[in-house]
Amino acid sequence: MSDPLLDVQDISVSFRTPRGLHTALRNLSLSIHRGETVTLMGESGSAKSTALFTLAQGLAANAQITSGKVLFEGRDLLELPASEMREIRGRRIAMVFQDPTAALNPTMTIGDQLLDVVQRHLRLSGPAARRAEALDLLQLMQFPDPGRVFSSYPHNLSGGMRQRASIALALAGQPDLLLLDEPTTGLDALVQDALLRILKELQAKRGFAMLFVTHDFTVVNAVSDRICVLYSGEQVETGPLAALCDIPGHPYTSGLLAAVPHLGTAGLPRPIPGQVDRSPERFSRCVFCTRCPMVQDRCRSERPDLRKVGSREVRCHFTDTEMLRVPRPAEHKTLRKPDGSAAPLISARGLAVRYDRPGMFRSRASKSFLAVRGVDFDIYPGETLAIVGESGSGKSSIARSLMRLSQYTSGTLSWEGKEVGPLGGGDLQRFRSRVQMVFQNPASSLNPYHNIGELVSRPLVCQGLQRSEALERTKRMLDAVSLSSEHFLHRRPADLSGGEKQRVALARAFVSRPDLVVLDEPTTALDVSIQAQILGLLAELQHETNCAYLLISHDLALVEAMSDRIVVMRCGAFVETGPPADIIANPKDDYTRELLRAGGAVRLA
Amino acid sequence: MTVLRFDPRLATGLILLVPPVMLALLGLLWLPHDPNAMDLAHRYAAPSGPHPLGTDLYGRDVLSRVMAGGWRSLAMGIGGPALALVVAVPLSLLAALKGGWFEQALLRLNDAVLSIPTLILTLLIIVGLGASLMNAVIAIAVAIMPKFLRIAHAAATRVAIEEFVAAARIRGERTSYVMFREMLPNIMPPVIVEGSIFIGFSITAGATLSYLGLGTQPPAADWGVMIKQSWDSVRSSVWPIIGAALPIVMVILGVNLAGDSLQDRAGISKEKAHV
Repeated sequence: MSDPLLDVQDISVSFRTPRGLHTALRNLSLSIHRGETVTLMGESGSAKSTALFTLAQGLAANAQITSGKVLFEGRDLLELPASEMREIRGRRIAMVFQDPTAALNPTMTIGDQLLDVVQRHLRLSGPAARRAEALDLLQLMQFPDPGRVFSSYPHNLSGGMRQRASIALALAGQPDLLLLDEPTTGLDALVQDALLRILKELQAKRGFAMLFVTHDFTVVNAVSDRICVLYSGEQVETGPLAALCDIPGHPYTSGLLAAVPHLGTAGLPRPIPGQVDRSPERFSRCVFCTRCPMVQDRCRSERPDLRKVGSREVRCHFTDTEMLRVPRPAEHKTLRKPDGSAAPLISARGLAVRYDRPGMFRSRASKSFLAVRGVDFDIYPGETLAIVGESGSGKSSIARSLMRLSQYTSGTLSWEGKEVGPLGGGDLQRFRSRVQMVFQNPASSLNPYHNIGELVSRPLVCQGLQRSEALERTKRMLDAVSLSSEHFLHRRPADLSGGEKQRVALARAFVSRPDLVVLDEPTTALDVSIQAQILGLLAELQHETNCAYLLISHDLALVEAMSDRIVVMRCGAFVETGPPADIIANPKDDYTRELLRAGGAVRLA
Repeated sequence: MTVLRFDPRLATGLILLVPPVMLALLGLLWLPHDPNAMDLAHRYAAPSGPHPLGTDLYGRDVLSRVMAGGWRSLAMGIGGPALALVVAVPLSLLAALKGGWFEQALLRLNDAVLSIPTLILTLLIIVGLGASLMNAVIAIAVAIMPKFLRIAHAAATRVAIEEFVAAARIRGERTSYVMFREMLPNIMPPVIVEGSIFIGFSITAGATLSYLGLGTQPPAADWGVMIKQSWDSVRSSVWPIIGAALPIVMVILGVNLAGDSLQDRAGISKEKAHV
């Protein structure tokens, strides 16, 4: 085995805070060889970004590297003088950031920014050669019109194109190592898929190594040769992709694999109970012991060493691999079968939504945008109907029209036989109590200045319930979502974790005992292990109340686990519809096929 | 609850603010001497036991006048912005929520008033309404209101698109609830910070108006009037002017420092501060 290009030896990082020295990352050891791709995988709080920034030498001012070396071709980057580090940055090691809008200079064209890098790091014969090199790079990134991109500003490009441009910028110095911090966050499935494919092709062509930081299994599956799993600042497992996914060596890895919805497997993903341990004492024992299904006394008092197990390294006291086979997903609780003969709760025929440009004066008709182009659908009591699509497909517009946040411009959308738009008076009151919504981002769907009790009881108060009764029902609802009411009633959202906030949002939606809840990407903003908890909670609530769900998502695997019927949506129109099993086994439309491919099933044993 | 760290700016600001404000408040209850009692035998006296800040051109005790008139200067300085806030904030919340022609009309009208230089605007209003303390407060409020509205509106538009506002509309909350219970707490931080800076401006504006004879009318005292009356006789005694100018400067500095410090810690963050 040749010498590694990058050899991270026993790196520990702490942060100086007003409350003392806070250890974020402990004893990370990792090596990356030329041409290989290693993924640092972890959830929030795992310190994966800290690790990446340590390598890029871009840590915050209050960071302290308390141990270890980062050897790049034998030289310790942490000991290098600034002048030598400048030579390495851009030319030998380059970085791609999470948000391309922040990484690109908004006042310079893409071409100028590329030329900047080329001029700084490559010895070329003159302006013509440099320009040719820059255009060549854009060509390599498979831009359909490199010349146009060359003279465009970042704001002229879409999100996916901006990220391609920032990757081009990173590759302009012809680096040997590319560091990528969640580069596909916020990008649609197909855009992400294309981007990752391009990266792999370029890697094969140019031979650079890549270090990816991500929490997304689809990404891990698409690009990795080896994975390094981080949990709460501790390296728990490192090994080749196939080995890790087939037989995980660490209980956290296997828990993670079980918590992610996989295409082609029926049933709900299995959550990891509890929450990440962030206490400072966690490093004197196994970090995962508070949530581990195999926990023993030894785990709570002794920190495990990183040991070699076959082709992997695992930090666990027990390396009995038989116990760690990824558990099968939980069986779907037997739902009362949705009654197809009952009248539909919601009926849409020829529903269309058109957005005009805002402003004082009506713009010309050609400037308006048809978000939804005449669709038909029904939602029956007790069923889960999912709308799957990318951004811009119109799925959110349907939800907004249903909730009366925006007006649909033509067609019919009716609830219990009455048109939703002109509802008024008593009907409107009932509609509001019967049809509820859960938003995507729990951080912005809860007013930070209200306490939990007020947030959850508000819908009841709006419907005219007495304060005391509303409070009673609120407490019972909070208990139902596993938030003990004594503890949480007076807290504010800022005191809660993401998962807890989303539970509050669910409590708020269910407290009025609705018949239909619209779920707009309910788990997208959450960590993987928490997503599974929320999905379980959603299934449980549906089982108890027999309410229907309109699930809006971009994630086909999640939708498969949760729905009775799926609708695939693209550019305002329905492309395909049917039960999940049918759609996934026999997609009839090319677009559906592409979505399935980009969804990337993670291999399971 | 954020840990309250010792902030030298906030501390200094408060140290500067407290004495003049306390004196002005105290002056409503008790005065060392009658502020209007003339003593022509002891004009332009230097500071001494019975007159810690000396006497002015008519032999009146400077300290008593500072204390007696303080509330008027503060009324203009704080009352002006307060009145402006009470009008500007609900308007901007409503505009951000409703949008459409109402918002556009309000903003353009606002721009029109903003384009008039502030001091000239206050002078024009006084000329129209007549010179008095009350009218001075109104004039200052009207002059500041467009600036407040600008800031409040910017903050309000950011809040109006938050999902919790959509959630409130979905459950059928009344517009007044959405404005005051959902949106208002979220725009208060920037508004308060800017407001504290406007206080400094308003004190100056009030003093200027009184100095020009367009605010508080003699024999009533306020800090601006005191400066006007003692200006010509500064060579006889500098104390009357210092007595009046010092509290003005202290209030302005104090409010600006405190406002600066508030700017850094404004608002409840949505996320737990990750260490």
